[in-house]
Parts: sequence; structure tokens; C-alpha cells
Amino acid sequence: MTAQAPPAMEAAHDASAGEDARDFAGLASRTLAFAADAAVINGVIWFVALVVTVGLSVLNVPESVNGVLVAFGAVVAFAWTVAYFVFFWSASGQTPGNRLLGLRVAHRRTGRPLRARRALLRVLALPLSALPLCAGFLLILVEPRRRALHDVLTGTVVVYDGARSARRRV
Amino acid sequence: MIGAMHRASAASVSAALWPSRITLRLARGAERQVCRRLAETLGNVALQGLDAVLASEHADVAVERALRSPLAERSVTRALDGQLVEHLAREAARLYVVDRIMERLLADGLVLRVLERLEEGGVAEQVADHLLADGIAERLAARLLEGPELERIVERAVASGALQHAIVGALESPGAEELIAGALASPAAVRLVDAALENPDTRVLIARVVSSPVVEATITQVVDDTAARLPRSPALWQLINEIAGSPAVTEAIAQQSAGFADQIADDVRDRSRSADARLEQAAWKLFRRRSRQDGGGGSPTTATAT
Repeated sequence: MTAQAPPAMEAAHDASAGEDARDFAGLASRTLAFAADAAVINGVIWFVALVVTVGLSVLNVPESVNGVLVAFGAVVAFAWTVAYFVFFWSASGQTPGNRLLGLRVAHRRTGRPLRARRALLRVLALPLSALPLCAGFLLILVEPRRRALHDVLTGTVVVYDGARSARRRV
Repeated sequence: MIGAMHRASAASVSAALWPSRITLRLARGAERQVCRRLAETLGNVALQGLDAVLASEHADVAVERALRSPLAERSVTRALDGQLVEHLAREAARLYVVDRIMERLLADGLVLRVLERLEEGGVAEQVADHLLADGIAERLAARLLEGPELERIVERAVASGALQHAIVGALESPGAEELIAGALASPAAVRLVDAALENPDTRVLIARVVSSPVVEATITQVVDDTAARLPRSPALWQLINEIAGSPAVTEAIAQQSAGFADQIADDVRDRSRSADARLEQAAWKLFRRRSRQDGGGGSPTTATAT
């Protein structure tokens, strides 16, 4: 007994048969979505940092402890960023920025939201697209499924979550 | 010489007639006094007589018999068929009869007494029944509507201060309240309203009244006064606060805000997707140009795939 695959999964699975590049999110939409996510992430980081700094200013903290706290804060900020993307990509495939722009991150073959491990890999692979002067992101412009380098490496796609894409999948 | 004689003779005649002139002047003054006192006496007697008639137990019976008599019916029929109604209306409009009657009635307090008496005797119901049974009301309304006097009477009556005082005094009296309540509760009033509503002349009457310049000016003045007083009214602001705080209004505003946010998000999505397509087209054009310069062919997809 095999499980019935969802329409999105079928479209993503049969990527070479009848799929349209217009179903996949382009560079502008993904950049705007990432900017929105970055605003949320950095807003939270700055707010927490402000609260912690004000709290620490009341206390008499030694200079050496300050350095440790800064390093700890950086680690927490990095963990928060990773957790943000992993949680949303593995939960619904949509971060708030993706939701705003109508995008969705899916597995290339199943069309479902990513598992946590694949989502973590995608987050960690994200800097690889940025390292060669963002050439990994420019791959979106010429790749048939509009995938960036980290998408190719982790087997994911970013699709439009609109009615047109759903209709095409059906 | 002759002129001097004439003047002398005239002076002598004038001196001779002086007593009679004085007598005539006194007689005229006495006549005016007598007439004035006689008019006052007659007016008081008439009012007292009217009060006595209204207070009499036989007044109701007399009115009822008069209304049911064939003579009254024939009189009304002839009056309506003749020129009497038009003449009466025209003269009433010309001589300000409505104003003068209202002033007199108001000054003597007769309106209130008549209203109380009518309410006690149930005369209103009887009159309404009689008017409806014989079609007199419809014929009278038709005759009044045909002439131009109705509009003039309405204009003057509306502009009359005495009429306004009379209406206010009548409405403030307890007798009027009981009379109106009894009249509205009677079956005759229901039939009268039904007949009036079904009558096509009612529409004509309403149209003429509504299109009257007096009504238009009154409505304009009322609207202007209301608009000027409303901002100063605390009740208005209390009403606005209650409306603004009601859950239905809050929910409607929230839905509208959500709809506005969705509209902005849709707009952003459309613009970003069109930007995606343009960027991709620009990249493909650039890639093809470079492929031609390199002497290669094929699609950028093939080149990327390799």
C-alpha cells in the first residue's frame, strides 16, 4: 500500500516532464523574502542585545567577562538564526518572509517541506552560495528550476505558493 | 362790498350752526361708545352661550342628529357642487381668516375647551364615520385640490404665529392627548387612514405640499440648524463613542485592515514575480550574447547543465 503523493510532490518529482520555470521562485522574490527574514532575525537580536546590555550595565562586570559574553551572544545569535530557518523550513516550508512573498521551500523530489536535517544542511550550505561573490545566488537566473547553489547541493527548490502553481500541479 | 357782505353772512350762519355741530360730534362719539360696548357685550354673551352649549348634555345629541339628517347631507352636497367652496377658500386666503380665527380662539382659550368637549362626546369618531360613509371627505378634498387657494392657505397658516401657538397649546393640553389616543384607537380612524392612502388624490396633495417653497425653506432651515447644533451636542459624541467601541465596528475595521494588508502583500508578490521574469530575461540575453561571441550555440540551460 503506497501513500498517495500530494500534487506538489508530483510536480516536483516529475521535474523534467512539463514543469514550468515560472513555478519556481526567481531571484528578486527570494531576495526580498530573505531581506524580510533578515529584518525579523536582526530585529530580535538587536532587541535582546539591548535588553541584555542595559541589564549588564547595572552590574559591575569585569572586562574579561564582557568578552566572553560577547562571544556567547554571537553564538546565541548564530544559533537563533539557524533555528529560525530550520524551524520554519521544516514546519511549513515557509518563513515569514517567504509567507509575505508567497514562496515555499520544498524537497526537490517529494515536494514536501524539508526534514530538519535537510533544512539544517541548507542553512549551513547557504554561505557557500555567498562566498564566490554571490555567484551561487546568480545561478538562479540561469538554472532551469531557478535553483541557487545551496539548493542544488541540498536537493531543494523554492516554488511560488500561488494559485497558478497549485493549478499547474493538479 | 359784495364780498364783505358774503363773509359777514357766512360768519353769522356759522355762528348759528355751532351748537348743532357740537351736538352732532357728541352724538357720533356716543354712537361709537355704544357700538363698542354693544360688540363687547354681544361677544361675551356669544362666548358664554357657546360655553353653555358645549357644556350641555344635549350638544352631543344635537350634533349627531344634525350629522345624520338628510338636510345636512343635501346642504353639503349643494355646497360642494356649487362655487361656495372656491369662494370660501379664496376669501379665507385673502382676508387672513385662519390667522384671525386662531388668534381669537387662542385668546379665549376656546380651543382647549372645544377639544375636551369633543373628546368627551366622541364627536370625532362620529364625524369621521359620516364623512367616510357619504364620500364627503373625498369630494371636499378634490374640490380643494383643484383650486390654487389651498397652497396659499397652507403657506399663510404655516407662517402664522397664532397657528403655531395654537398647535403648541393644543398639543400640550391633556385633552388633546386623550383625543388623539382615542381617535387613533378607533376603527373609524383606521378606515379613514386606509381610505386616504388608497385615494390617488392623496399623492397629489402630498406632492404639492412637498414641492411647496415653504416646506423646502423649512426643511433647509431645520437641516442647517441641526448641522450647526450637532457638533456641540454631547449626546452626539457619546453616540460616536458607543459606535466606535461596539464589537461589530471593531471587527469590521479589523477585517478591513486585514484586507488592506492582504492587498498590499498581493501587490508586492505580483511586482516581485514580474521582477523575477525581467531579471531572468536579462540574464538570458546576456548569456546568449556571450555564447555567440565564443562561437558556441545552444541554450543557456544546456550550457549551465554542462
